[in-house]
Amino acid sequence: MLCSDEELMVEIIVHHSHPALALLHERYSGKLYGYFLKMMNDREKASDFVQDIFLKIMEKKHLFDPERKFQAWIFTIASNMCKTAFRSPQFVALSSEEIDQKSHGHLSENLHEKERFKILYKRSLNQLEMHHKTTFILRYMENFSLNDIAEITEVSVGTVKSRLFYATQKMTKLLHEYDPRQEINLFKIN
Amino acid sequence: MESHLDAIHEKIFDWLETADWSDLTPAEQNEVLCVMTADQYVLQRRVITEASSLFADEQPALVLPQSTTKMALQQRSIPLYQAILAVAATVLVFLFIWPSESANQTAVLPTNVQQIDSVFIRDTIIKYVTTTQEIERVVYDTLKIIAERVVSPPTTRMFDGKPSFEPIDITLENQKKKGNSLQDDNSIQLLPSIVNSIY
Repeated sequence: MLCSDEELMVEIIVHHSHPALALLHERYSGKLYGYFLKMMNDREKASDFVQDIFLKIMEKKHLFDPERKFQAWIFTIASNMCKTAFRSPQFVALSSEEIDQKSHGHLSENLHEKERFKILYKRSLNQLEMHHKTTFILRYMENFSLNDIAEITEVSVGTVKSRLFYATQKMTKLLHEYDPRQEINLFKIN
Repeated sequence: MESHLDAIHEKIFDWLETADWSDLTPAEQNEVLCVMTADQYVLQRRVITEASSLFADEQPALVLPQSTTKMALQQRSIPLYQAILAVAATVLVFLFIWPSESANQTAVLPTNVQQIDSVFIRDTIIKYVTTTQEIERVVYDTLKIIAERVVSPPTTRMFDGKPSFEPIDITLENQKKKGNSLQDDNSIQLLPSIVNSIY
């Protein structure tokens, strides 16, 4: 029988069901890992955060509102975890060079155009402010609806749109700064 | 509070999410050109469309943390044969260990009676009972001696042998006066024969 996330969560709250937790893990671990990786730029940290968030679910299960969407709830927790990590003095954001090193090595002139774009893209994403980055990732990488993002980030839909618009604009500006050829190459790629 | 987009920016935001530059009508393109260049629009559009594929190759398989939750242990089930084997093994181990444990106890008990803990209190009590019996025997012996002393006749007596004279009957019956006559007086016999000669 295919249960909804919310039904599984009720099952966890009432019966402490381990299979229900395993099923939720199966559905969300990949998504959450992707989200944490994009937010933190660190595979190990992303993996640890996924483990932590499921432990948090078990601890805070009584706070879940069955009327609310589980996906929005779990991503609210995930966003708050990232926010806390960014504020933590132990957290050291990776520099652009470190990101280049971690992902594809040095940004050489001979690098394939698409690879080059990817690296610059990650670099500019990393330069965004926290609230812009969160909104951008949730919308364009995790494919959340505007309403869901508004719920997760606890702002209005209008604010979400505004954040997205300015985040995209800033990303474009940064991409152009990193490599002015981007605009010239655009027409070749598209 | 962050400002909301005005009408024109909101329109462009919607177009950026849904349409390429070439898909826009000339009127829409003109509206966009009031805010940004065509190149900027194309690049912004690309930033949005490329986003989903950027991390596509970086999704490893993750494992659910099991040992850390208390629930994991409670919910775990094992096959029946494993449970039976476990019970049988426990019984065997118990039977194997039990006799050697009692043997060890008997070996240790006599030498360590006084030093070890409450396990050996029972033996201390047994010793105490033995001591009590000895005391009773002593008391009994003493009593026996006392009894012998009481029962056996005294070795020395104050008056040994026959009296040197006949005791005088001094009972009230004999002392009753029969009359004033000297003849009635029993004590006359003690008097010298002179008196007898008178009568």
